[in-house]
Amino acid sequence: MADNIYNKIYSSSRTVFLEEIGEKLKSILKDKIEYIRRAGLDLLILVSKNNLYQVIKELKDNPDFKVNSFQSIAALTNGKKIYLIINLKSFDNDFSVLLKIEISQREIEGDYREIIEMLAKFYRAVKFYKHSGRLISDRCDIKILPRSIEGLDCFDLDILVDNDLIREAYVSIEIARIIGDDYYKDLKLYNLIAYISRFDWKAGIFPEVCLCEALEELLQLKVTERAQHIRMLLCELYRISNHIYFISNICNILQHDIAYNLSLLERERVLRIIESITGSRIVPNFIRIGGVKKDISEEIMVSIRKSLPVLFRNIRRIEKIMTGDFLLIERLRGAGIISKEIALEYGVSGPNLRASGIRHDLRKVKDSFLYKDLSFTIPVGKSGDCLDRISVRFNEMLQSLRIINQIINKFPEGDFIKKINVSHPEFKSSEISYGIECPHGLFKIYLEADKNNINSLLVKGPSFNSLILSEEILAGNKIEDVDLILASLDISPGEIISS
Amino acid sequence: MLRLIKNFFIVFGNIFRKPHTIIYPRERIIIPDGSRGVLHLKVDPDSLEIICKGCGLCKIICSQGCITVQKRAEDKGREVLDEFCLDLSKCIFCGNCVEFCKMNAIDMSYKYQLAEFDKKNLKLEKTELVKPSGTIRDFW
Amino acid sequence: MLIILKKVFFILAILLVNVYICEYINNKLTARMDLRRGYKISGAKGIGFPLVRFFKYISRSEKTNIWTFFIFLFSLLIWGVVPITANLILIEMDYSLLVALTFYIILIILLFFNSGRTSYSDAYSESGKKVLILLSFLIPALFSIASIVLINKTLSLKEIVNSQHQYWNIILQPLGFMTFFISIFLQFKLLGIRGKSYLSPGANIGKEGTGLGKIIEKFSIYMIVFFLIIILNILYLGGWQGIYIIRGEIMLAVKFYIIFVILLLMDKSLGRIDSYSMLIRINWKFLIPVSLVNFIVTFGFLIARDVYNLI
Ligand code: SF4
Ligand code: SF4
Repeated sequence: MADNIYNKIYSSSRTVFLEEIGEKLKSILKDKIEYIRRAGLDLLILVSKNNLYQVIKELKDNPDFKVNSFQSIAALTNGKKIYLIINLKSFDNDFSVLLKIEISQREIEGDYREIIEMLAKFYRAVKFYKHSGRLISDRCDIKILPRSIEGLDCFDLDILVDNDLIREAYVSIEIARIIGDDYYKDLKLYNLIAYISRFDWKAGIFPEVCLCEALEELLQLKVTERAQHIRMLLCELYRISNHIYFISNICNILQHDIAYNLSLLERERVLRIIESITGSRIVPNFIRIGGVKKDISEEIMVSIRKSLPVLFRNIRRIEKIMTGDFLLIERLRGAGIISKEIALEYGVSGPNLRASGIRHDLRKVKDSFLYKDLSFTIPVGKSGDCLDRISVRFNEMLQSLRIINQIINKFPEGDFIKKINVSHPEFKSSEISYGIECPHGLFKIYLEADKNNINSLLVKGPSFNSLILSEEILAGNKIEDVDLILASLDISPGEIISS
Repeated sequence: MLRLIKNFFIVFGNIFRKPHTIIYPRERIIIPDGSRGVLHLKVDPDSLEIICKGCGLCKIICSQGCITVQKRAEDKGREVLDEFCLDLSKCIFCGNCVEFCKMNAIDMSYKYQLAEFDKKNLKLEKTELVKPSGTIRDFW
Repeated sequence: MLIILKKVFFILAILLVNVYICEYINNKLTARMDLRRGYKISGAKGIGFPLVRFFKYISRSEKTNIWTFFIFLFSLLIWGVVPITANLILIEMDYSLLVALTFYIILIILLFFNSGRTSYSDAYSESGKKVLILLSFLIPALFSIASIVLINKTLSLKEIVNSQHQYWNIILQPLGFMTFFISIFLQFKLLGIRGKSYLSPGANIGKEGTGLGKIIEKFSIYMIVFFLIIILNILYLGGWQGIYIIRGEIMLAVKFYIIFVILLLMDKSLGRIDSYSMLIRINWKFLIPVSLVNFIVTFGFLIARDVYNLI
């Protein structure tokens, strides 16, 4: 019995906590909201447009809630209706709210502008949405086109300079891709799983895991231990691969060729393992609802076990090479500082947040995987500059190796998938928002499902918040650091979606 | 400063190490087990017949719509595959078709050289899909 | 007259052959330092690759402007005054060191004008700054040269070499050698011999460009590097002085290539140094004080020896 509670998808205390806050909110905001309910990790509140101002004011100013961080805003269509979903988060009380607002079909543009204007009074981060779409190309000093920075091909950057220092920076994501609802409409679930890893090609497993876990939550399905271990193993492998790619990117920008070559070689080693497990490097299509696609054979385990010490040694070596080079350290230190407050305000998550000195990792907070059985630490930085962001990622890689080592040593027997009817699943018709700690930060999915298909789906990658933040932190830095700072935020182009 | 001198000697030592370059058409990298390449129609080793019965499930499964299947009935009511066409220009190598095939009639080969001059060549017919792929993991 | 023509021909031949070899070494060796294999086409370990690249560049027509012509002229004019070996000098004069340095400075300024050509106009001031920094690295070099001149009491390059027949100047001036070498290295890095030129804005722009102008730019960069290495050789390492039975010319070639390869290795083992503040700090907080101290010590030493007959 006790084991049953322990292995529940959420720890029960968390659910109770969220429901308590929901009750409190309900009693305060009685007639201003239509309903409030728990959707996965978040509280979902349906508000009409006229009451929005009072609701946000209450949420922000009441010391019981203190919703001080703006996460995202996105449009969602369900049937013929159009909604705006605003995601706000309170870091002090550790809960997040989804505000769902219906907007009329005729005045989409006008309503959207109105809501943005109103939000801008509360949150600084909304500034980005205000000017987006209106570029300042005609009066900017330097225009950085998307192709000029390697790996960042999804936005334009306009810069106003003051001698050597950047005065203002403007990001425009006009050229980013647009994802309409035909992306998921009329798609069978197995095809959606095959597609969704395109959202993040730097670490393709995480969107799949996120989607599958959200759907499992809707189906009230519990995954076997072996499947969970395989998922964790893949997640950590992809995390290492992503971080090493990040390091190689930084080295390429700094033209530090030794570390660049070594890190690419290590990435190749990790990708080999991943390919031998999943069959593909970038788009794994490996996670299934209720488990995983294939079992991990004993041979692959042996090969992982063999390459773990090599990986550990080589990553340590790269770290030594990079941190011993005082010219490099000089360059990285003090560039692109993100202070704690700004990081929280802009809703940054993941290693970027941890580099600013905030110990927040969803792997520790949420108990969806079996991470609670493993011992690992969360590295944090101090000042939040480029150097911290790099060293946090190095430490995270070493911790990931530690996790993999533990996983391999106690790999449980059992089934790797639960057989369910995937082509005609029966959902509990409701909304759910689900998050997972991906290498860039908090990867979030919001979906609404009725009896047997998904009506609407929202994907929110963490890179978007980092991109918005880059506008803020670029100001005051030197021109030659622009590409360095942008690369150090680890922006994954697949996640930048303009809507 | 000491690190810089060490780096200098690492670079110096690299000159005498074996380079990692692989000159592509002559050498190939090793493809790991289970990698997903072009589809391959399996052949029954005893009767040398194509296992696929042309049920058309993979055609429904494929989200890209790149498989076309047609079956025909022979005498005695036996159904055999008439036509199986794969449009490589659309295929995303997701592997769903392999997973869903009830007969286990297809698998994914290790073939990865897909560049062609003519777009027509990317449409693979039955006869080409039956051929075992040239790349049978040469050195693994 | 005929003798001078013959000398010109020899100098040109030596320069071209060396540019070819250096380009080959540059490509092949940097590739090996990266654990890559480097060029393998055109047979025999890619020995013909510089030629292939030359034809590739020249086959595309692109507008050349007047600066490229001047750059070409000056990069050749330098060799009129700088002696490669004892006999290979066109104009012998007493102030050849000064004239060579002037030519060199002019060449760098011309390169700046040329680099403004390829880029968009906003970045013009950017590359101007870099050239200024590059020129500021001349200051420690000039101090080091001045102390050499004080020791050898001559401004002619030939006599500086001849006065080193007993021991090289590096023994007398280790600090000066160090500052001169570092300043050469930083100029080498800023010029971007590896195809990533920092003179033109943007790290990747050096890879671009075709036509005759590109070739001449590349040629002139090689000329500057050659000039710097040969000056280093002449001032500190004994120039074309032979050791025992080894001929001076061979010694010069050996020293030249060793320095070139060391510069390449250092270039590879260090990252990009293009932040102005760091360059300025290296220059004003390290190179210039050290070279100044070196100069003052040398000066004091000479005064003590000559005027007061102390030592
Ligand atoms: S490959 Fe399999 S699923 Fe496709 S038609 Fe043949 S038997 Fe049916
Ligand atoms: S691999 Fe995927 S895209 Fe290709 S034929 Fe099979 S189902 Fe279609």
